[in-house]
Amino acid sequence: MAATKKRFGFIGLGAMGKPMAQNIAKRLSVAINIYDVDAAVMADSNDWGAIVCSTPAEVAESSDIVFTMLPTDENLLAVALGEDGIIDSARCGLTLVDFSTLGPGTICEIDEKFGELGARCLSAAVTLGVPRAIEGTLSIYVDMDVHEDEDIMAFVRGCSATVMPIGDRGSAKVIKLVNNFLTGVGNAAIAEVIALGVKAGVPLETLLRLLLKGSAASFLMEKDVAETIPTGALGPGRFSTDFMIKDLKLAQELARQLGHPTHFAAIALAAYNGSRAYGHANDYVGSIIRWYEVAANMKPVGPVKKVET
Amino acid sequence: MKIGAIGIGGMGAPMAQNLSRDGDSVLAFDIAVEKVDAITRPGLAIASSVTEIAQECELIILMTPDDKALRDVIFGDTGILSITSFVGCVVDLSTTSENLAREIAEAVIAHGAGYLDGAVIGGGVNKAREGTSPVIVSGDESLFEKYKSKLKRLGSVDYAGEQGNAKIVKICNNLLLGINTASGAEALSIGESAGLALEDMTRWLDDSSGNSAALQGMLGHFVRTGKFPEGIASFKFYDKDMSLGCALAERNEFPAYFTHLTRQILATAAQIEGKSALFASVLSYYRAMQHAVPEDDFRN
Repeated sequence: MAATKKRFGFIGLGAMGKPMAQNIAKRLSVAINIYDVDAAVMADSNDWGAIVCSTPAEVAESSDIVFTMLPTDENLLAVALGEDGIIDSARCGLTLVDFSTLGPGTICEIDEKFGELGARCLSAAVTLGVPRAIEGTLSIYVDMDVHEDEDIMAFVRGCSATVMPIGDRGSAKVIKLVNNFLTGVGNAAIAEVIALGVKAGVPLETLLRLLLKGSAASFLMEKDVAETIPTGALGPGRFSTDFMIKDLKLAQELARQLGHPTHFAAIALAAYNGSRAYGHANDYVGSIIRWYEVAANMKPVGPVKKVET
Repeated sequence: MKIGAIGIGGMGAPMAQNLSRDGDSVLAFDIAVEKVDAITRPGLAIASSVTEIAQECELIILMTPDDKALRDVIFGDTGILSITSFVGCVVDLSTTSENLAREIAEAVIAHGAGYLDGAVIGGGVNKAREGTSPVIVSGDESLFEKYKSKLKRLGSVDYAGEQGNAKIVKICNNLLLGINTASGAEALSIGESAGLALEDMTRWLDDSSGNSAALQGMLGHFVRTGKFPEGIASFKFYDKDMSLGCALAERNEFPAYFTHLTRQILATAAQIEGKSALFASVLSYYRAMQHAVPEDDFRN
């Protein structure tokens, strides 16, 4: 692994961020400056040699490169530009690379403000979810500027197996939004179709087995749907309905700015809101099948697991 | 009585003028100075600030463009609540969210003043000028009764019950108008691509079960005269109304298929027809998209 002498910080230690930071610390044998609004998630910092900071500005003060992994555009804007934000310590040579799923416009807005002080805001995005974050084998999309900077890439490789350069500033976000748009629409469409097939009399197992052999087979159907609907493992702990709603809204926001007709995302978004009303906000996004069953006035297509909350 | 009017744009200006009657004078304010210069009319004095209105008026009518502007007028450093002596009544007719209306009601009542949320749910600029707008108001009913006679100068006034109800009705109305306009444009374009003339279709549909205010008043008007009626919002502005609808659906976890879809269709049309084009020109977008007319005839 290429060595770098740059000082490093990581902000946002949630389900994705924390294992990413821990893998970077381990693989590069470095002490990382960390910050999260929830101090509890930093309580074990000694175990992995991280240095706890009290504000994003403090992380930036003692780092040359800072990664962020946050839930929303608003969170990143607060961390980057808000009170005690990174901008308070922005200076020539400081680079923020954001990994959150959010709009490319937010990256450009921050980069413009940072630019006045000689700092940069670049974007990346991750795919394959929490299990791969823990393994340190994420797939990562990066803006070309990230790809061309060996110091930043050393840290990116610290938490990933594959890195894909995309294009201009913010473009890593675009590919992520487009990807999640497809999984959101596809997931809803598969649920709709499975409910229809079962209602028309085809047993669930037969339906899935045959669909997986046909031209409609997909990663989503094989890795997500076929492993969850037949077992009923649709509860919390994985990518949730609420996160999907957030991402579909981001994709539609991007489409509105560009004047692009995102008909399918609009309909999928409405369906996920319907699913939310039946208590699936924090459940795995595939739980939309339970809502289709209600909407279609039919019995569950497969086993229903009661989830303790 | 001195009546305040804050927000005197296309709708707000004629409404303010109609309030000035039977010995009541109106003190008006708008953050856009050029509008203020253009509307000095009898009975309408121009204030230099929101605070001046809050100091001098017992009844204040609001017609602000969005949640942010409304928030500034109420809670801003120089907003209505910055004047401790204000104990009158605010009647807020802006197209804004119902949850903001409830938040404002709480604060204004705690301040010792009154707040009614309301909306103008149709008629456009023409009816606003005539003083025949359909107006709905919700909140404290005794407060509504107290100021009803003044509000009647704007048009027909209906009491809509609990605080926030009027805003919800307004949001639903505008969703319907947006959806009906888009679906009307779709239906007319389908007919056109099947060989019928737009003029004939709108005439034949005038006395049909598929008829609507959007189909005749909006699209039909355009087909007949080549112009949309006055006071129709631009795409950019109408996206605000659609976003209020999406947010209302989301807060209520409602599967609002048509709302979300129409918002995206109108936004796409906006990019192609131009953001300053009126939202009803979604008809031109549909005609182009469906190839209903030869290419050189597009959007003439």
